[in-house]
Amino acid sequence: MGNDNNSPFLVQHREKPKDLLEAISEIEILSATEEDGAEIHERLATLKDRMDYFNLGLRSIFTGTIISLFLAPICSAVINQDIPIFGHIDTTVYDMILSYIFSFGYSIGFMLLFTYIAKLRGGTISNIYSNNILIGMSVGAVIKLIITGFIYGLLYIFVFTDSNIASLISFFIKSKLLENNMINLIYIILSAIKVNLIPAIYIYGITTVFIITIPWVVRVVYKIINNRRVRI
Amino acid sequence: MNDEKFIKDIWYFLINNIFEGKIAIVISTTLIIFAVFLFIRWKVYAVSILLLMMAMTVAYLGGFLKLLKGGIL
Repeated sequence: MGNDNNSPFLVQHREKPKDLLEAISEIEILSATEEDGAEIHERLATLKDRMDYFNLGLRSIFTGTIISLFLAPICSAVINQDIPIFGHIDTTVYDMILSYIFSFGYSIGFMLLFTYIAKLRGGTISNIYSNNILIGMSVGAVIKLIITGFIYGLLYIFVFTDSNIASLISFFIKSKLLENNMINLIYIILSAIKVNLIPAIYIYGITTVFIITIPWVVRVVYKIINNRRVRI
Repeated sequence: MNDEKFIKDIWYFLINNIFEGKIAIVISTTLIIFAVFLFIRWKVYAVSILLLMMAMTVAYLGGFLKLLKGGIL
């Protein structure tokens, strides 16, 4: 491995990266070292290191899941013009995009970070680490989609049934806790969410496809560009 | 009685000017951008989620208030 100054990063004991930003900076340092011509042996990326990066990718994609879980049906309702946004029911494309960002803002933000990681191609080690982090992200996104679909299915079948909604509304009417307008509003919102639970799964699925595809496409494009540059 | 009318006027002003239309769009877009930025850059989870909730409130409140008044749908 050589104790020269070319690979100072690897000879010292490294702690595993705690979050995505730490991992990015570590990969950046590695790729810069390797681009300078330092040969770092492939086996220095130990199994534990690879697993750490894989776990990090897997964990990171789950942040913001609960928020998107709650808001995806509402986003679908806005797109289907069941719930008004910004005070009008005739939603424009911008309104739809905004309601989409409400639901998936965090996922999109993390996708941009993963796309940045996908661009980092220095040498063997940095490639291995960034590949592992991207594979972890892809696996996590698929698991997230499956769990979300399962939860929405359960909600549609067992919770948001017509009888449950009707009993809740009749409870409000009998107890006179709320005014009629408010009860009407609650009914509209609950019915809109019920109708849009299944379309929300499709929106979630499409988002997952984008989150997985975009970083990998960027990675392949950068690989092709790098290969051409080396040939020239 | 005058106080009530004053409060109602302010409320209608907020609904008509802040919580719907372009101003609401600008406010909530700015809040979302800040929320995502805070979340990723500094990991200030609580503040970021709070900002997102505020953005959502600005976005949906106008429509819901109109629904309450029986304005739309």
